[in-house]
Amino acid sequence: MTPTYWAVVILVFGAVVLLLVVSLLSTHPRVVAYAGLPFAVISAGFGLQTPQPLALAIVALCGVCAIALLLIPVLEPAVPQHVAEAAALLLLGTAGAIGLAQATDLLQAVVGLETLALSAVILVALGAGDRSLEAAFKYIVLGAISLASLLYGLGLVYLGGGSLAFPTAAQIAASPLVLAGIVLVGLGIAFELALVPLHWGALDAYTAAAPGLAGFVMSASKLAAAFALGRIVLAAGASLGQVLIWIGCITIVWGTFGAIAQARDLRRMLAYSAITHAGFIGLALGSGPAGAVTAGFYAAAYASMAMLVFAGLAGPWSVDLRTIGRWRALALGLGLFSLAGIPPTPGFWAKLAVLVVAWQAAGWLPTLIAVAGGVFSVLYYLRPLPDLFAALRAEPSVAVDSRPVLLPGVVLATLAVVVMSIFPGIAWYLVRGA
Amino acid sequence: MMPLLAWAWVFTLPGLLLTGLGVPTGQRRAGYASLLGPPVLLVVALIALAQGGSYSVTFDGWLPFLPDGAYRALADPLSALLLVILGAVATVVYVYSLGYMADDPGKRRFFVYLDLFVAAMGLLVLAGNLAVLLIGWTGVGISSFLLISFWRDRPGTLGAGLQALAANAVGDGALLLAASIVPTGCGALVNLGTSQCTAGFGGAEFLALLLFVAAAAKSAQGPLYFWLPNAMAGPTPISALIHAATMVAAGVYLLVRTHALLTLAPQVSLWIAAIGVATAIGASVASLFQANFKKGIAYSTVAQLGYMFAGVGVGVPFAGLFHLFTHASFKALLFLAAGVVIHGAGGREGLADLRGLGRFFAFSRWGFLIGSLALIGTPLITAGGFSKDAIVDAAINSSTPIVGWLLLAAVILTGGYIGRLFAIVYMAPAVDPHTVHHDPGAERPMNWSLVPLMVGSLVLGWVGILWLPSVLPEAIVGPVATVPILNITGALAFVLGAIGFLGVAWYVLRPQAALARGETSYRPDGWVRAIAVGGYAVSDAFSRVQSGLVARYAFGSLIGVAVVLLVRVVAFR
Amino acid sequence: MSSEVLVLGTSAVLFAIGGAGALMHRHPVALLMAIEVMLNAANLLIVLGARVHGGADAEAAALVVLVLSAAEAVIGLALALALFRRRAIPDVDDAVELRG
Repeated sequence: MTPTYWAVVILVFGAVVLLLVVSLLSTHPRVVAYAGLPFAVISAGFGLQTPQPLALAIVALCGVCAIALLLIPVLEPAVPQHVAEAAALLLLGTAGAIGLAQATDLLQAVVGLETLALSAVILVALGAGDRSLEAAFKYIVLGAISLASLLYGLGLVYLGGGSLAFPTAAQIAASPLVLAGIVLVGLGIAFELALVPLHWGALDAYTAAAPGLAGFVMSASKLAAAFALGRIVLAAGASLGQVLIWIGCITIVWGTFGAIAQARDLRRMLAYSAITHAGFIGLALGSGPAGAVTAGFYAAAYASMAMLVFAGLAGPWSVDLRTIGRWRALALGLGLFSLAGIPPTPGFWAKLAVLVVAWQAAGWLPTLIAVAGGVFSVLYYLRPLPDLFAALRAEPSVAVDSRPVLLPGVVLATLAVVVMSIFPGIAWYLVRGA
Repeated sequence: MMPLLAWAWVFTLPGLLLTGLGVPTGQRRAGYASLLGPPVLLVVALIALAQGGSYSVTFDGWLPFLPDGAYRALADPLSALLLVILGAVATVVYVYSLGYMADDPGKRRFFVYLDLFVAAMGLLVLAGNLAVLLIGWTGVGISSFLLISFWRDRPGTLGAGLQALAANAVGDGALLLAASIVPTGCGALVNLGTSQCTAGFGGAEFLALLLFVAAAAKSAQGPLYFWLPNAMAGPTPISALIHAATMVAAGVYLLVRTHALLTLAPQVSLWIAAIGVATAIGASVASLFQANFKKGIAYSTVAQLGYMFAGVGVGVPFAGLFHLFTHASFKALLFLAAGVVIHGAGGREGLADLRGLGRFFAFSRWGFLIGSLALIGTPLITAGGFSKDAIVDAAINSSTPIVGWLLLAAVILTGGYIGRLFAIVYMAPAVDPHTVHHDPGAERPMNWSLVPLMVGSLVLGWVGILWLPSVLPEAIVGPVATVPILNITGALAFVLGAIGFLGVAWYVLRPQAALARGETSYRPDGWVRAIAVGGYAVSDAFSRVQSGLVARYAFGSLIGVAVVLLVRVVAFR
Repeated sequence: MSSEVLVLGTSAVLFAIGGAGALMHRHPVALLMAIEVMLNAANLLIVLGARVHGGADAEAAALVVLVLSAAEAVIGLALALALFRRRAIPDVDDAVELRG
């Protein structure tokens, strides 16, 4: 049994244990969260033994899961009886994401994708109020529609090629059915990645979910989809790549303009920013074999900074930035710097890597669009910072709700970002090899 | 000392940490921990400059996904000179800020941001390749943003900060593109002029163009000038440190560092000179119509940077560098002197409000006078005379002498605008003496920190003539065999400047003269505002597409899928 | 017309009907039913492929798709119930709190 197999099995087993055993023993959220942690860690250990590029996928996914687990305790006021379910779904969703990332044929991809997507939908719903339910409902409806087209594409691929494996360039050239099919499959996975024109549901889901869970949903879906699409594109060659380049560029433009309009709503701005980053991943995926590796690296960098931002924001749905206390404010600031692509944060290294491959493989116009989308993003990411830092020395009248229970999660996420800032070569080694 | 200098960018980090953590406690002592950083930087840089040599730090394989992914830091006389400037002006500004920000509740945060800026600027100057340069380049942009929008309770500061970010973004984009497109193995800045590195797309011209755009954004040249006058929304000490002496000089520094590339790109060099001259003239004219004291001085900075760009553009980087060196001193002096008056007047910055109040601040008055004389280019006794003369001479003797003649003629505008400011604030009868409030505790550090800058404005010209050519690398000093101590063009420039100074001062001091009424706030210029409004309108349009109706989303998805399918299957066959 | 082409056509038509239904229906349950139709159309195509190429992997895939459709339906219906519980006539166009 391969290490990948064990990684998935341990996570599923952990989900079952949490659901059936732990929830009966204790409903204290911290106990539940910490009970889930060992499964994520062991799974990451197995991930380190897998060959590149899968190693980065599994380690990053387990890391995201671990941080999200550490952020669960603040969910309690919103969903008091469902903390154990949230933890179990986190583990199950990670298992599905790993399944999607390591998929070598279409059926594995679909099963992994659906496990991830359905877990994500329920996690989105586990926030307080109708807003989360509405977002989850829209997410599942749109997800089901894209799943239907993905399966249709799967059917076309099988009809044209006779096999469920990812079709090669030769097979695509031989049969228009396979071509249409693989495009549909690619678009179905692009829904998970949140590329235009399939980003609608993801936008609402990222906005309305509880902060820690939103971070998980964003990061895990991008990681898994990036690696899966990378394999598909590697097999299919340039025929699929061209499509992804232009979809990626349109997504960058859409997300950037959408984010600029969200001056008042930090959560919605972060959702549009997730769309923009998905555009970068899409652009990288289209940029040839080197680009597929870079897309995985970008997804891992994005996961670390998204989790950091949401660790800082964890708590009730809409948090007043003046009350989050010193350490969470610094973490949030670092996360925003990283999202904006300020060197030397991982966000910057990842963007630079994408620009290099895009220039070589995608041409000057996509590169220019990517550069513009990258640099003008500072206008909306850094906007809250003067107020945020000024509030570090809060007025005595403003009650500081620093939530020390979040500290392990914040510390872990900060560590991940700092390590990736100073030593980006580690992640690059995990995805590419020496 | 060069090996130590290569790590000089960390010198202010301990201060940053200590001040940020609250050591030492109390409002009066806040920031004391940061005071050590800049003097240490200054001393180390001075010794390194005197000793000479060069040292580079390389960690290969740091960024394996880049064509040149090493960490490269280069300490050589050029970077040592810039670090001397940085250390000196920073030391003065830190001491000054103890007084200026004495009663400000954000004093601690201010010093943290200052430390961050000095560290980033140090890294920028010490950068040996484009990747490390980008870290410093963006870092100074971010610190500049945080410092411009420092006072959150005053309206317009965030907008001014965002303007700076927007202009910086253009420059960062150009630099990012340059870092992505250089051929493999070509990131080292000093190697950018070699044939291997100019073999990429567009050759030397395109690469030089990208570097020029980046430099122009950082130094507020051409259409990217708009952010610098509005950066005056930040506290005066940082107007002096960042937006006069150091950060805006980073553009000039970059062009001097990569001058080998510029010699291979004559088209772009011509553009650099042309934009420099145009900016110098345009900004000088604009300064004459400003109603805000600091904005008037800021436009002067833009104009003087134009002079430096012209010097680099005509192929004499030493001239531009020399002027950078002296300008740091007298421009910082002008700003800090202005700040004393502004502080004493309770923070008001409009010329109408400050009329005549400068007479009550002796140090400030002398400082501003010395700074003005240096700005006009008074020969022999002020530093500005030597450096401005070097640029004008170099331009007149180059292949495009028109550049030199235009710059010479523009000196009359220089005299005009600075004479106007001096006359209104320091010579006119006071508008209301009772609005002045002296605070000896705050003023002492402010006044005494002006003294080194006054000395510098007088003396640095001689230093530049006699000492700099011997310590700077041959390649940069190059075409300038010896800089003349005084010649016809220098004398002519001074005469023109003096005419402008005295003429406008007389005009302004007439009893019935009406002062420029106008915009004293930091709102963006009309065309910038139009772009911003347009951008927000487009963003709102995108935002409104997300209508909330799931059927519309589904429709969008299905149409999108259909379009992609059609285009791919039909068009790309 | 061969039977394969007929089945292919049927699945395409079914997919289109399901898609149109997803776009038009405002009752959440009807919406989910239309999506089920789309999923079944895809399943029909997979079964056709299995018949044409005779592979067991496609037959397994068809069964997996049935399970997945069921899972989606369960969660979708549960969410619809939770969201529209308090309304007399559920209408998905009423749930527009998230927009912009």
